[in-house]
Amino acid sequence: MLSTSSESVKPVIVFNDVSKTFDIKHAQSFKQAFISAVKRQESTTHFNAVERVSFEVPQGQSVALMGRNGSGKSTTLKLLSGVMDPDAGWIRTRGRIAGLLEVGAGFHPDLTGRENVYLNAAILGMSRAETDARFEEILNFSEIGEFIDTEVKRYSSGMYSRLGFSVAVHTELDTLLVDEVLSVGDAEFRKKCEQRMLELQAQGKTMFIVSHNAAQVRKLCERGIVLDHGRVVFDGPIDEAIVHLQANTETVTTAFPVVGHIYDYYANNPAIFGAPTGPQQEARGVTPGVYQEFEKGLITSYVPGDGGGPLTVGLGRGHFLPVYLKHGGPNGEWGLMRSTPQGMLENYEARTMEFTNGTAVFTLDEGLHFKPKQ
Amino acid sequence: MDAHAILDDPDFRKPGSDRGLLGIFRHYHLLTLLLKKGITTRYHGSALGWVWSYIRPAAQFLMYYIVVGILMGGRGDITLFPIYLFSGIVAVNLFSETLRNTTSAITDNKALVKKIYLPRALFPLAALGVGLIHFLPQAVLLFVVALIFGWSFGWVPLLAFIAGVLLILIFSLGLGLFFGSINVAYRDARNFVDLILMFATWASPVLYTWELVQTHAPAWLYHIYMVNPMTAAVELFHTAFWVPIAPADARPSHLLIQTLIAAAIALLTLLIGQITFRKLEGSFAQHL
Repeated sequence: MLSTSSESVKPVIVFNDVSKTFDIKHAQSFKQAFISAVKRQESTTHFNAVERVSFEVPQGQSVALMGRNGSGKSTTLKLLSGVMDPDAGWIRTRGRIAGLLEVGAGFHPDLTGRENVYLNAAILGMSRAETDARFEEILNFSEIGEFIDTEVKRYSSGMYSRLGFSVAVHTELDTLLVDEVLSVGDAEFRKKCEQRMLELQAQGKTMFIVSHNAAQVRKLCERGIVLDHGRVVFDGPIDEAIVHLQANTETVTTAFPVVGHIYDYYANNPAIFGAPTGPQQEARGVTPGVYQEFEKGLITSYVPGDGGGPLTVGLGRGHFLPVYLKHGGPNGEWGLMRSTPQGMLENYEARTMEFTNGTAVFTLDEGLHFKPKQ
Repeated sequence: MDAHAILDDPDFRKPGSDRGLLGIFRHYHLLTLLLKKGITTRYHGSALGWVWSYIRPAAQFLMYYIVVGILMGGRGDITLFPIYLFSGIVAVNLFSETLRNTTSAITDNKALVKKIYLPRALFPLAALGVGLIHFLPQAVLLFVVALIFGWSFGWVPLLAFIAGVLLILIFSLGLGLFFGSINVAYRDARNFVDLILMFATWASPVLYTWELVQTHAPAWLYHIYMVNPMTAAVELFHTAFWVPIAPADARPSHLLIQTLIAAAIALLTLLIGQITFRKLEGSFAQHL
């Protein structure tokens, strides 16, 4: 264990025997919940996302949290930021913690860049005066220039993440939480981000970084914590942690990384989908989005035009999957998935599934049909 | 450091801890920004924008006035029926607007709720504020119409108006917190709210008078009807806008005590809503 600071200095992050179990709920409505209660079916599956994790982070240290997909990294970060509560054990933090959990998570597409900067800064805990004082700095760093008074829905994805990152690294904070977002923008901007992170380190800020990028965390962090199946399997100097992580991955075949929203969906229940059989790809249909194929299914993700967050849906083995794939899958005429299948065949109901270009209906009498949207 | 020292140390904070509705006021700045966001994006992309805030109640008013006030034989028992009707509609509109907003507040902000910790009660509260601001143009319109018909200033009408607005806000926030937190796991809650809103217009004296209920319903039902917070709120709006220009019409005999009971019910609803919200908010992130 690294301990560079003296005993008298209090840590800024303490995890004590923390566990988090997810109940994956199968029922989406009162009706389904009621039916499974009557049939005495288990309406939930348990999944241990984080198990008995303990560590302390002293002030000023930069820690990388590493692990394969589904190892519990994101859950750990969510527990740390307070978005989720642990089921067992406790967590304590000291000082102001700001999360860069997702770049621009607080952005509203219909507001201008300037309005979004104020909103996002307030979300990260800054007052109006603090934001006023740093606004120029944020603007310069983001390189958005005169577009700051344009609605952010007109921004390119690079501009969007540059502005989000810029707000986050200029917040008044003691500890910065970073979740796989250092891959924003072009190479030059990435370099600038790293530079800024090193600057914050020099100011004595604590950093807690979740990343896949070994080269990057080696530059930024001194300590690495490796998670596997929700447990801490290594905690120590970053170089050893990286070796440990790489040695670990050899035993398990994850040829293709599962990342982003697809990962969030996949991590809820990896067993349904199995291992990825290809990389995450852009869908070539009418609706822009991404998809990834797995041994036993498919996950698609896109941003609906209603101003909400991205819509990610997965489909496992069943009636719909082979027919969907036969019609070209995410690149075909059906489009991307909008909902999981609904309706119980056992109750003589039709089983339907929404796609961006229409609805697929399966009935026992007529088989599977696709009704395109008018 | 050992565990007890850390748990007892006031420097350390449990992530995601706040003090419920009261803790919100520390985030006053964020609340104003969320309000501003709700107001600017409300009619974004529509050509008429805020004019819709007038068109909807006007259309509603016209529809009810033509059907109830003319086609169904008119309401000769009510002096100045249009004003009576309009003040009721405005009260019910405030209720439906705020209840709808607060119920969907958490699901509407799911990107934030899932990723960043904020006191989650901020979202329903901001939604409530947006509903209130949305209501102001209608209130002004109602005031102007009442003025044309000879409304003159008095302390009782003014207090009745403020009390009516407060009563509706408290009641709808309570219901909104309750149904909004259930709505995260079971989207059925929103449909239930739609049902409540459908009843709201008819279960309060908007289109008819309280006397009708008194003559046709058994006494116990009449008492329940009168202490329904929405009935009390609508009657308060009547006291504010309609009574000063139609002073001859009969008023319910125990209005004050009924209003106080209704206020107690509304506060109880808020308490239950707040307790439910606190109980369920820890699981919002994983259900969204």
